[in-house]
Amino acid sequence: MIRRGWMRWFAAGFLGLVLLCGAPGLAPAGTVLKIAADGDISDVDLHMTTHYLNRVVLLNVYDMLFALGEDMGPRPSLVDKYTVSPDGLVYTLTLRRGVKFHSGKTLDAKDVVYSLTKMQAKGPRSGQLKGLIKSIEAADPLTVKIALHEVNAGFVATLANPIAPAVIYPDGEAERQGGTITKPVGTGPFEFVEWRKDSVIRLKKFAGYTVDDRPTSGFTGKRLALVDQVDFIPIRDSSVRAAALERGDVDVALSLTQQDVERYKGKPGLTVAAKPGVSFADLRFGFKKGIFMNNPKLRQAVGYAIDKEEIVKAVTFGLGKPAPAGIPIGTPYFGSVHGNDPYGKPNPEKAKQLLTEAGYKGEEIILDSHLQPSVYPEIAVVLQAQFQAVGMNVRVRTLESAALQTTWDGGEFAFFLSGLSPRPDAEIYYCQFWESTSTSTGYKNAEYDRLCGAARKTLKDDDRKKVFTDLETLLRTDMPWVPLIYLAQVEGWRSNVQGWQHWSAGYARAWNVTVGK
Amino acid sequence: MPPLLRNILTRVVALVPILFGLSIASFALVHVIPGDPALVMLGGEGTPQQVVELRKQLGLDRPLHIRYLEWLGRVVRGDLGESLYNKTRVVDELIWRFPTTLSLVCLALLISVLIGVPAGLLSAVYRNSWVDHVARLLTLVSLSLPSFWLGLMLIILFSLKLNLLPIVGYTSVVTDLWSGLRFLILPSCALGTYLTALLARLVRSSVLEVLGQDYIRTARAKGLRERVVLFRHALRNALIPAVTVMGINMGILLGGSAVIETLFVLPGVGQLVITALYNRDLPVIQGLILYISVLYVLINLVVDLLYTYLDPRLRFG
Repeated sequence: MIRRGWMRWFAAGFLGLVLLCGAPGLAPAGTVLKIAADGDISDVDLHMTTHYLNRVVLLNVYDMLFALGEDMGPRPSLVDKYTVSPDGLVYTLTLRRGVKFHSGKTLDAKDVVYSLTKMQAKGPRSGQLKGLIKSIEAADPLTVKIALHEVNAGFVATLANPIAPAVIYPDGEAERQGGTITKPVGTGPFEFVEWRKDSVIRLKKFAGYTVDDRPTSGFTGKRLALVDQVDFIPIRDSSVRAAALERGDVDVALSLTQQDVERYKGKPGLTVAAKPGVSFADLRFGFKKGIFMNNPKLRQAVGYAIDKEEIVKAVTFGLGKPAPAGIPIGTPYFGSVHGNDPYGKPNPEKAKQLLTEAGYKGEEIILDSHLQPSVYPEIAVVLQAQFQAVGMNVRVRTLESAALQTTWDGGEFAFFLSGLSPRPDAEIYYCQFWESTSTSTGYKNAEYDRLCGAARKTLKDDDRKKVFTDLETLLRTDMPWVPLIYLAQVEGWRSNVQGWQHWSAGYARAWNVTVGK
Repeated sequence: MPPLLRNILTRVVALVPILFGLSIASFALVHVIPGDPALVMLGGEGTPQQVVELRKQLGLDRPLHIRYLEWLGRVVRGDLGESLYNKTRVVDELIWRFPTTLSLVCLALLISVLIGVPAGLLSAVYRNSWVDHVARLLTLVSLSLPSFWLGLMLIILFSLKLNLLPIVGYTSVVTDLWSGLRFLILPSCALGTYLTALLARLVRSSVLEVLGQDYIRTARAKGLRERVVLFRHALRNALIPAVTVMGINMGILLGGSAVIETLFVLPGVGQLVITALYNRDLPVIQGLILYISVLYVLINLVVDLLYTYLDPRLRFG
């Protein structure tokens, strides 16, 4: 009896543990827009994180002074208008009147001073903003004066950069929350409700939202919260995201695969579409170690060995397209030189000739690539085959993100397959990693540095266009990196979703969207 | 002191040096694998100076042994530290996620016991018959199926084609038993299929071995009914290796069934393991290793206690 007794107690305790430890469930209310994202967020303080998914979700909650328009150019958001002093050193920003934070506070200049000062003090962009901004001053409740150390034509674009974006918090918000932002308070059309890790990030319509009446474009202009609630559901596996969309468990699915476009073609009640994104894959050479560092001919041989069209067909099923230049097609400084890519068609004979001239004798070269998203290892394998076809001995090494970051940061690579997400100014594309002050690649070229400096100091658009043409020309001759292909941005939404704007930048905008039965 | 209690106490005391050794090994291992949390946090956008500053802010610039001793001091006081990313306490994170994993694993184990034990027993009793052949074929197939593939197939069949069960979402079985079960059935089946097959094979081979023993022959010679021989004498003795294997598997699964939790979007320990490793969230990784170690030792203790129930010869004292 005793023996059986303790067994019963054990069983009862075990069952009790399961029952007692339950977590609360999800309870939808009102009209709900459910968006399947390809992962969870990692932080809610956007000043402190460069993680892509954080901004995909939270740029529905926070606003910036300037933000990306539909064309990837910077546009005023919380700023009503701005002027630049004749010497180009002082920016005077006038804020939109009556903008409310989710806490009920009205936006004023002190909030801007606080947010930019916070970014200068800590976070991924503190060095950049410290080097750029000399002083920030609240001239009156709606006017902010920002003085720069030196002229920088890309300053507004810097403020609009979505990577660790300069979102505006209420003055003293981090301190009120114990030193770290754990509950987002912004001025966007949706306010934060809760983040249940690996389960849901819930936002709700902000009743006190102040509408910007300017035309809707990208992250800016007229943005109306037309649903009561938005749930971002992290679903890491793309097949499950697609299945959840098909079954109606979610209304929108982000980052689907190219195969899904074909699979769901003509399926009633569902749209799965691809847009060539503005993000593109690129191949970066290492200048701290490895076979390419002092050998421009070898780098050019790589350029001629690559068949970009073949990669597009093999990896994106024709839904992407070749990237002819270091800046995206359609952006302000993309000119005829940028469009005329000398490496647009493969030239294996020239590649072989250059390999001989470069003194290459079949040494093994390691190509480092991201493990995720899966498109990168796929591109790496196609590249490997193309290099082997001209006689290069290339081995692909895929690394998960943390190990890859260490490899990149230490410059411990021969060549490195990566990608560039949308940036608001051409200077950031060309110079962020290849100016000699950037240490990852180790690339040092005085002329490249001079052009990067000129890109920042030149204010006239026509003159800047010339600088970016020169940078592109230099990129193609000295070849510190090779733009490869635009990746397709695939999203799906159900027919009950009206107003969903599929954006090639890949961000999910929950505003101006309605959900029917 | 009763022998049973003495044994439990001895095992708990023995846990201390095991955990101490494990903590040193895991602390060292976590710090030698490539990947710097400061670099991950800066996402490739930081300057070398910023990396140095962030490493200092995170305390990663101090010698390893100092950091270890500080960590150990906190753990002794019941504090596993906090995530480098969102500053949540590791203990809270584990407490919050454990029920999901526990519910999933318990349901998977229940499925495996309910199907695996009868299947193994029938297979042994009807050895070399068509029942045995079918059961063996099914177990072979089940053992060969990767759980993520099986999970996807279950989603396609039961969620998309038959529209019976939801794909994503999670409700606790406490909040709403039926709704909670609806979310757990498919992942538990995907997780439990391998265990069912494993259990069926183990039970079959063990029962076959036991059925050849003298005491079974004696029991039959005494005129006992075949059902009594099978259930009271054969199966009970045959379950000992099965209990061992299930105990080990339960430890593994409670440590995080990462693939299934990721596939079915269940906020359990498995997803935490994946996220912490990808982000090199060192305090969380350390906490998880400690949690898994404690769990393993405790489950082994429970398995030992179950032996005494199944086999009186093994009773303490």
